[in-house]
Amino acid sequence: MFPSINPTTTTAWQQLQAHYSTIRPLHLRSLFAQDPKRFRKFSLQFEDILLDYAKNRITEETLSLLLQLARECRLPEAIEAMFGGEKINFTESRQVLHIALRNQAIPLLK
Amino acid sequence: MPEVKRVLAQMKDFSEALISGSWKGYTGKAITHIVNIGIGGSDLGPVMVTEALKPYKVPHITTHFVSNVDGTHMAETLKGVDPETTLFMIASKTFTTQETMTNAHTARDWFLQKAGSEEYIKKHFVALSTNTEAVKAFGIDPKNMFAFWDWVGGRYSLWSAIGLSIACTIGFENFQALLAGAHAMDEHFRRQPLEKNAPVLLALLGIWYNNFFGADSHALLPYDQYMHRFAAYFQQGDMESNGKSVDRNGDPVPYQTGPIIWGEPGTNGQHAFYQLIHQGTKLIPCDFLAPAISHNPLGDHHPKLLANFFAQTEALMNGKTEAEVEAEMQKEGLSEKEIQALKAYKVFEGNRPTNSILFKKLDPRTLGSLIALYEHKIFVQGVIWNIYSFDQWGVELGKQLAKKILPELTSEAQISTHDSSTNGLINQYKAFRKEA
Repeated sequence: MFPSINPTTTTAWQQLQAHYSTIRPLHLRSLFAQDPKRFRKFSLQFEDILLDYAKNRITEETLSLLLQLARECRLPEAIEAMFGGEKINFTESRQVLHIALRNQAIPLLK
Repeated sequence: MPEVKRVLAQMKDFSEALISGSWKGYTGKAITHIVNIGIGGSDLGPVMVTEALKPYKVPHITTHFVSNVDGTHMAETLKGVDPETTLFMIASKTFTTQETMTNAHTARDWFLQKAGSEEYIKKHFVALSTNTEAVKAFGIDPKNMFAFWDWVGGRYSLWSAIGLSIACTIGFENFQALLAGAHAMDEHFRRQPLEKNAPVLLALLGIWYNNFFGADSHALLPYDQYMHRFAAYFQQGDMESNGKSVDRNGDPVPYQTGPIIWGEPGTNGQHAFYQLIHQGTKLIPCDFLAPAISHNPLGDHHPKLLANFFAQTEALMNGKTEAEVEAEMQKEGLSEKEIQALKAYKVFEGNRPTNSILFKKLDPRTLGSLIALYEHKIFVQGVIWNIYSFDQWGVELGKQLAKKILPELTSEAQISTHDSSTNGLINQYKAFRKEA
């Protein structure tokens, strides 16, 4: 089922609002100075693509609250709804399957 | 999905025939120019991708894109092509899109003026469409109609038959590599836990700035000239998806949804709008993208480009303190009076957030992954903002009104059916034309 949760009603949203006032005065300079592992914590590699998100105004707590927000909004279910061919384009009553166009698991005819 | 396989095989055969030259025009010559006629999703994706993958272009075919209903777009394109060696691709799902069909008929008239017989249309026109009747009526052989489905939204259609211009420009194998790169990102998105999931992380960071810091825009800044349409492409991808204000329960949203997306390639942007990002009053989160290896290793161009790529995010983050500015000015030999008068202007607060996306080389597979990365980012944000990301009702109203206004422009009468501003504009337009 495609979820329909107002994000502002989640616990994570309330916590993020409070957390924002802790983060707002912090400077990225000091966050980097405090934590030599910051790049390792806040980067990831996918094939030949490196995503470095260490230069964001976040701490580990920020990220964990944002991930909690995603879970409270039932993101994993929403992802499965798209991949499972649910009609998540509700107002036009359509599936959303551009992902099927690039699924090379089906070998090409010929 | 057997239909997907069928159309992909059809695209493979067609692109191979076109590129090998076994497909002939009406005088027996091979095709050297493709003109893709489409607008919105039937234009932006193929334009962005063929520009980004120009190093993979087959040398003997040049592809042009005509989208705007402004006759200038078609007129300027036709000046450079020859009807004997030009193939037109008409990209319109319904084959009724006003701009596209206007351009398609202009191209058809131009072609017939030179070629003479309507019999030849089928050698020079193909359709990316689902409306068989209209395609046939136009003179196109239904065998050369490439179908797609209602589950492919316009802004996700470059992966479908709409990608035919891409396949014919860079070759089918490269088109397949593009698809494979996107599929690899799809698998990453579907299988990786949220905390290691690239599209999810980008989406959450965007929400952090949009909904808690109050940032109202997001810049995409590729340090790669080939990616010069990347930001424009994701203006549609993002803003058409998440520019919504009614939630999935039918209620108005009391919080911010999709940001304004904008950007230009670096380093050009640095000499234009970066001032505001560094020292303005607005917080603008930015994504910096760059390849480690250039397709054009000319002298020291690439190290210079990448030095700027690394320097900008560092500068945005660190800024420059008052103490640093003072020390610098003293070193330059400025007087204490000058330092006091000027130092405030030279301070950079810093603390400007950025993501850096550094990739090995801009090849078809990597580009496919990057596009899918942003597609899924946009999807995740729409899920959390509780809006429907796959419709676009907001583009309808203007279209309806344009249809109503069009006959008013050709009539002689003074127009009084609108508000005074719209009436005034229309009537002055007519007056200007009468004087001419």
